[in-house]
Amino acid sequence: MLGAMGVGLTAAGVAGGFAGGMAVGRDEDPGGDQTVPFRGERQAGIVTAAQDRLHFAAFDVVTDSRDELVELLQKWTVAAERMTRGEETEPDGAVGLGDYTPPADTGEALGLKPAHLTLTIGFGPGLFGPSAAYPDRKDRFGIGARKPAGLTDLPAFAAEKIEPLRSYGDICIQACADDPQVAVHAVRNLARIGVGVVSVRWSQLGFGRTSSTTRDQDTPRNLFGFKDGTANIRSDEKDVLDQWVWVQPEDNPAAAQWMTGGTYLAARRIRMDIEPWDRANLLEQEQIIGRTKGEGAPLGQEKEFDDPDFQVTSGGVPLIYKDAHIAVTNPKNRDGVRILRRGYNFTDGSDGFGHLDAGLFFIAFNRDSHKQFIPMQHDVSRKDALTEYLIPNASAHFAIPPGLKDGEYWGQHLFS
Amino acid sequence: MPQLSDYLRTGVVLGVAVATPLALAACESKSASEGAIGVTSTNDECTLETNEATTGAVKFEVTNNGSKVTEFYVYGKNNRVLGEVENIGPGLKGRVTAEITEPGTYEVACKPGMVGTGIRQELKVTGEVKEKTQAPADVEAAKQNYLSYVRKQVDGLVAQTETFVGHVKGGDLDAARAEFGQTRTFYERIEPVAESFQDLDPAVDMRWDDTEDGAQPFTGFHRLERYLWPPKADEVGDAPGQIAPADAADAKKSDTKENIDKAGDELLANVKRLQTEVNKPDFDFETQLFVQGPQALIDEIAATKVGGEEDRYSHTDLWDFAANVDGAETLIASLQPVISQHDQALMDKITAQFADVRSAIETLREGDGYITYDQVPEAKRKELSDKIDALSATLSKVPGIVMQK
Repeated sequence: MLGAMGVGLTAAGVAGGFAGGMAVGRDEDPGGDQTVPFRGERQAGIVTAAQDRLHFAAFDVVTDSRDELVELLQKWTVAAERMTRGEETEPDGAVGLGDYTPPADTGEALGLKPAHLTLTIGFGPGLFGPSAAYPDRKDRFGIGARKPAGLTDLPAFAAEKIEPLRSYGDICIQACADDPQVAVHAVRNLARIGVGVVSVRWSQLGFGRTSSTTRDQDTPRNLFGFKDGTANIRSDEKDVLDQWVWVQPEDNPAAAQWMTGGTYLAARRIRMDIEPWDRANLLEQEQIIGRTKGEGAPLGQEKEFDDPDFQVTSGGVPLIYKDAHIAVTNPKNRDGVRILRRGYNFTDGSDGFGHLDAGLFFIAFNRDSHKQFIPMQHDVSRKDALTEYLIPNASAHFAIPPGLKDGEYWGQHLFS
Repeated sequence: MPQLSDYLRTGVVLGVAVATPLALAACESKSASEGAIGVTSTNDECTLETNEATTGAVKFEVTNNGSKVTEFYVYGKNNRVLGEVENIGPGLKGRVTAEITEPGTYEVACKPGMVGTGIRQELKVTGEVKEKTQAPADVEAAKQNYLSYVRKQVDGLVAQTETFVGHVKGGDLDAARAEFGQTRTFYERIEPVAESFQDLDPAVDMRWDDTEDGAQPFTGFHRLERYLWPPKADEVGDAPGQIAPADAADAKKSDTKENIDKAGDELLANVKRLQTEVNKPDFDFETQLFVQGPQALIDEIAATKVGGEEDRYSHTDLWDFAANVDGAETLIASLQPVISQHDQALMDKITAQFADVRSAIETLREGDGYITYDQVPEAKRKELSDKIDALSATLSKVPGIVMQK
């Protein structure tokens, strides 16, 4: 969560350097028609300029038949590629298939622009056999040997209240778009097509991207009201991406080479104690985060992209407390380790006490969660003053394969 | 629609509304306004542009120039409604298409204020006799087979209900409790047909939620169920699956022996009426409802039963599950030759998925019946729900397959 933001922060040096404001256009949208190419070296939806809306769904596979699963992945690929172009799941699917056939497209996206829709697929640990979350699982699809070592369930972290029914999953689909209806339409139709083969385990809507993945996007704010992800990894930092995001050939043995060029996605639903936070005075809020609320500058500095200085004191007390969020997560204190954040705010209405059920749906991509995200999250959960205001209640981990070449289907290199 | 008998069958009305698009889809554009007969409805007049039409799909475009909301009807023999459009506000237009297959004199009516028999006009229809648009012959034949199954089930329903109500009234409540699930089975098997009787079905099968918190009388099976399994304190609450506090309070107040005996008599009278209706020689069940019946039955489970709402007092939901599956399988059996002829792979998939659902339910057997649904854990409910969703998705392809020419 915010933790990762801190991580990105040290980037301060790096990011600061770029802050001079080079406007990189949406190179994902070469035609200017709101279409992000579905195929390519990487899956879209990772370094793609973060869209405004999210619908993230996790599925359990309910068939034991490898053929049925592969057939579904093939069908999904066709429908997904069409939808990212703003088309129906199949030609004339919404109204052209006859009076007595349920429409093959649910229709709510008819007439809407593609809205930069990206659909990103990932595979969870339980797909390959037993895992911590699915101890009774068998290797139903004969892919146990192809499971990358890094693909485990996330461990238990301190101070979390994980709800299994909105955690885990065999397959994830991340749908991002600038129009929420487009994102929901995509997930809804993929779920509809998948009935009988997969079953939706949980899904989450998000709004208000909480990270920037390109330099021309302003740093957004999370629901605590603070700028978040100031120094995220940016899409044009090729070397940084290769070092911290993309899985390299040497990371896996031959059986798991299908992951080379992919990445790992860690998802956390982090509910915020909104109302208590809103009653905390400004000074306390800034001390917890370690930044000013208005500009987003590290305490003791002036500008958002200034490098935080943890040595500065006032009256013998550090300006940035040791348990401040950015102190715990800053890469300076983490051997320079970074992750790519791509989370969204969420509000699922209010609970029975009239409190907002709101927070951050944290999504991070990294090359090795065990060396990057997990250690960082342990420190945040144990040491970060912000944890007092957070209730992480869902957790999931997925392997995100690389992008598709022409003619390939989702998961082809895993199943072939 | 006061012209119809008290026990209005949706099937009849739908028959009109649905048969028409079928015809149109086959040979004409769906635009209702082109070639339509203009009708002007005012508070006291119903004016037709022309009083003549030719056989086939006859379209009307009704303009309401009055100050009251109006309706427009097209009647066949015996006041049978061939087409209707309702709730046309002042200044607005409504469109309707009626399929008129035989030449002759017909009546149409504007009904400003939506009351009474309306302002009638004659419509002379000429031209050759057109064949009624209908489903392929094999589907019609399958439907006739199915209707004889329905009649047998309703006979069983009447006999079982007689015994059941007899035990309730005679005070042998243990016997009545033991019979409850079995008695409902006959009804649940033929739910799509039963539901086509728009006021008979609620009278027999309504739930507390349909009473508007007690403002409407609570009748039928579930009223007797509540008497046999009175709400216990720990079952009452506002959470999903719980018995609403107003429901429990009403049970305490109203479930007297006298009221329940009356409800039992009503229930028996209503299932007998159902028997009379389905045994009428001209009883028909709209083909569209027939071909989508298997899916409708399975969706009955998917929509509410997997949540345990149907039999919330007795938790005998698994009887209903099994009966809905029985009914759906029978429907599919009657359609099987037609499905196989067009798509054997689909038929195989349906067969396999029925077996899957069936075996999942079978694991919950206990003696001659089933364990109560409150003993079925969430994970098992989700598993059942997944299998039912999968079957329903496959069954949703049946109408498109069997209705193709």
